[in-house]
Amino acid sequence: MMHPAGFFIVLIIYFLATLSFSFRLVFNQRSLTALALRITLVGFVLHLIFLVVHLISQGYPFLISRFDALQLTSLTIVFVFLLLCFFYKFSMTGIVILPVALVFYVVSLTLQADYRNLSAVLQNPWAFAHLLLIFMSLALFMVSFVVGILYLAAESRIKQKITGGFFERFPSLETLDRIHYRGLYIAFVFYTLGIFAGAGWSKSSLGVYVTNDLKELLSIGIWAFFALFLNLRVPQGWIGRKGIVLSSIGFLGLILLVVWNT
Amino acid sequence: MTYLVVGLNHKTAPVDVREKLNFSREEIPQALRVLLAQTRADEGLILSTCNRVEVYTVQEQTGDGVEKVRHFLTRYHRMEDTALDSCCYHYTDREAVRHLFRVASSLDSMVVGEPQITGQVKQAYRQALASKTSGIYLNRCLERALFVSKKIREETRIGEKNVSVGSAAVRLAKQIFADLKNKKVLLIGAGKIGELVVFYLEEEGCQDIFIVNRSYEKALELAEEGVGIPVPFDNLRTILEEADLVISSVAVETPLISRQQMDALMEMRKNRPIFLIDLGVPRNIEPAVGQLDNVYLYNIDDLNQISRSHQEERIVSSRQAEEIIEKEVLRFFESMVGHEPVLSLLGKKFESIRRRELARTLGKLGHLNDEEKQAIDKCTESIVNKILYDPAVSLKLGKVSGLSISTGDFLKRLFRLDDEE
Repeated sequence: MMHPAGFFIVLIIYFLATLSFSFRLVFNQRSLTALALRITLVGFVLHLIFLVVHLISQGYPFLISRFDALQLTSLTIVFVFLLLCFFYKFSMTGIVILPVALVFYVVSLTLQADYRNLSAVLQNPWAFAHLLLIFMSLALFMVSFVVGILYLAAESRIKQKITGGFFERFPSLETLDRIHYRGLYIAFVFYTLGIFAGAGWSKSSLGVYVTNDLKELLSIGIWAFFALFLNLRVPQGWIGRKGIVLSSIGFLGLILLVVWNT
Repeated sequence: MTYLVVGLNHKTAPVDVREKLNFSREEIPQALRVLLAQTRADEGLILSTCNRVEVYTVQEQTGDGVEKVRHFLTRYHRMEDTALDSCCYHYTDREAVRHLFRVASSLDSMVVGEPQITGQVKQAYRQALASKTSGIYLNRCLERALFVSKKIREETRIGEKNVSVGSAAVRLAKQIFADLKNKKVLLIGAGKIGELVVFYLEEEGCQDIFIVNRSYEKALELAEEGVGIPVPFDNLRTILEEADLVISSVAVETPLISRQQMDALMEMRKNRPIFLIDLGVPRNIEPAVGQLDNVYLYNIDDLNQISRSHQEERIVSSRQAEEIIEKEVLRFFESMVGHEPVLSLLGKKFESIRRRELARTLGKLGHLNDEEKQAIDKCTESIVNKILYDPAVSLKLGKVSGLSISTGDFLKRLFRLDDEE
């Protein structure tokens, strides 16, 4: 089945927003930031409407196609970005974060939106809760990771005493580090709930909470890693670069898990 | 009509001369009245800031206008007539307009690109308007100058970068820390540049500032000047554990902070980021300290380097700005061509009517005192200026819709201005 035309409109809007952020960088016109943000907001609202309409038209169970899952991830990334722009001087990072959302978006468009031959396993409310929470946490981990990369780049410039240009319009190192940490924290909460939902799903369909499946063990391993990291960050002084590099290990594990699962 | 500016600024006159010539905000309306009375100029404006005092006038012919304005300045401030000979500059017409555009755009400022001057020009313009000494000619010129200044700010990067070492340090600090207000600052040693950096940090809202000096008395002295809280030199280590920003400028043979010491300190600090500014020569902090995680070390050369690169960027921006100004000056005078005679004829006609009628009325009302006479004079003058405002705008636009001839020609016919010529 073709994707509804609305999704292509949103694609164009997100693309325009990214373009406006790039122009802001090149031409240094402040008014372009407000314009880019407005375009992003319009894109987000339309995206939300189209996705909800799409999900309702597909009917229960929700979110079980890869199209839906990646759409949700992309939507959440844009939402988190807008939220951060509201609280921090964060809009310039749109030039990096929006393309990430776009990648998920474009990949989703290459996938089938409908799903026949549903297995009974997926027709389970636990499955919906699990997928919703896990893909939202993935989006949050993603934003946190990108902010971490920005931190590393900005920090190395300050260390190398290179000034001016692109990076001076980003938030301070302290702010980036804070966003990275808080992003991880909230992502972790979603991830934890998602794992619980997954266990519930497993119990109701297979009769056990945890199986010996390697993927399940890996996901619990990643959970344990982040649980330790978030608790030890301050006492161990994993602030700034060290913490970001360490957390990236967990993040890569997460990516491995997602790729493995899809 | 001729534009004339006479004045002096930070480049031509020392501060003690500028001080004497300064007009306070309150005395400007009165000074403007005296200016027009003494110089017989048609319009006038006074721009008085701590870096410049300039008098802008519009008059029929320059003639001895420069001399008259200079005398006005010296007489008003009770100085010798020759006091300003060596430090005054003057420009007429095109140069005067260009000068105003440059001043309003902050190209003539001590720190090129600083934004205050535009506000000060605006203020001077408002005062002249309120005192009714700014008429159609100055209005047009000032409006244009403010427009050009805005355009330059938008199209170039002139106001973006501050150039001093102190502001370069603050800029860096802002790239590292989210909010400077709640950061602890430590000043080691009492040097001029160190104090300057602290001054910039205070401007950003830093409140917790500590001073450590070999001589505790000197630290106390600085504290008395309101620079910060004095701390004995022996407590340096403890305070280093707390501080987020450290500015050091002490004369030492061996570095005050070694890599090893800093390593230990960072452990105590739980790796909390610290920004170290080493202004000392020889250096106060071992360069290897900068390699540590979450330690940002900049020395005086690094800051100078940044300051220089900002200056270079400013030079590029000012070149762009100068180009904009040249174009705008040209455009300004082009828009005047053709309209000026009509406008000046119209102005002359109205002025002669006003003078005639005023003399007649005042002749009839013999019992009026000077103040009342002056009030009537001002009142009629402002009526004329206000009547002339709209025609001046229409002239600028060139054509009134529905008319087959230009506005200038129309006005000439309507007011029979050809007869006047």
